[in-house]
Amino acid sequence: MPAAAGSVSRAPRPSSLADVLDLILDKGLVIDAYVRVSALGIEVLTIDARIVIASVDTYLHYAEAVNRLDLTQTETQGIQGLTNDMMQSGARGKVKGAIEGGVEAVKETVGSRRDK
Amino acid sequence: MTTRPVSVDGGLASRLYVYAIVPVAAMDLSEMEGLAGRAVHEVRQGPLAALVSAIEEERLRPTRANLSAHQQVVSSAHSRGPALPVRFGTVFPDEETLRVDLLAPEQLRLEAMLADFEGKDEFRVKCRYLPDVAIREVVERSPSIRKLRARADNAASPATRQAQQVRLGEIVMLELERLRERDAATVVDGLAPHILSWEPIDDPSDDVPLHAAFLVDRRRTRDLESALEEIASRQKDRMQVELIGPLPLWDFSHVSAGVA
Repeated sequence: MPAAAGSVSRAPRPSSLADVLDLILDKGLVIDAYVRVSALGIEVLTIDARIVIASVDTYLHYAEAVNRLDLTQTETQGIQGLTNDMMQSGARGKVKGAIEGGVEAVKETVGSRRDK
Repeated sequence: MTTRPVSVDGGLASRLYVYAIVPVAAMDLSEMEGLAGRAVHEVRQGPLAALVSAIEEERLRPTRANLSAHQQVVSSAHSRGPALPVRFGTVFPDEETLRVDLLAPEQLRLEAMLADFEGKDEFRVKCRYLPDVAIREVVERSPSIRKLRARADNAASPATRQAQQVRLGEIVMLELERLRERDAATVVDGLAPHILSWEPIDDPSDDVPLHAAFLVDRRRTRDLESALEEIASRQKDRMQVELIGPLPLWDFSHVSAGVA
């Protein structure tokens, strides 16, 4: 049974700078010595380990998000502003910021190189 | 066997910026534009060719224009046949070095990769929860969360309250992670019959349970699209699903070609 048309949004060509950077800056065949020698002016974080250290502040963030949910409401209005910090769609990196921003140790944490 | 260095532009031996490895004479390069509108040439080695531009600059910045130009050359090549994308910023000091250090010693391996890439595309899928969906679902599904949430209001002291909040937050975070994992698995399992392999692009974040690259036999494109449409339709009240592609095999080219 065919699904209703149009549930998938299509973007055949990346259009934004963020997409282009994400697409290729750290992708493709690596020709060892020559990438290092020639990629002048490019600071590419080649981070292999992704460590997110959760802290007390992190947990309090999540607790707060839950506390402020009005469970009697079936609609989502009124909740937007409270959970937006964590759930805002479209703000690349902002959600990670909610986790990492509260704690210095986490700010310096090795994070995904695709954060901005 | 030594090759006499022949510069691509017929003049000074200049540094060569490499975009991709392709089968020799795969396309007409006369109209192709590379970095800052530079001409794109082939450096040939047997059945292979490196797509290159002469470049004099000492510094190469990852500007939007440069990244875009690099991507365009690779995309054009990919539309004509198998293409091995080379990482942005790869420059050889001259043509001879390109041959001696890469094309000659790695010829068989590069040929094998190109043969493997034939008829394949990359598609990228990104799933994003609609606002509030994830947190609402974990609360609704978890009696412990609801209990802790209620109890916190009656805590005896600030210290106790804080401890309870931390505990609550810990559980919420864990449940969110489990929700993401389940949703990611749902999508990947649904696409599995139509893909050859896949690679995550980003780690999951609170609102993005899946952002991944899928390697697809071009003949299965319709099957993939239908399967994803089916999934997206079922999820449309809780998740938006985005598909990008067909793309060159950026996420499946991560083999290193060594220089000893």
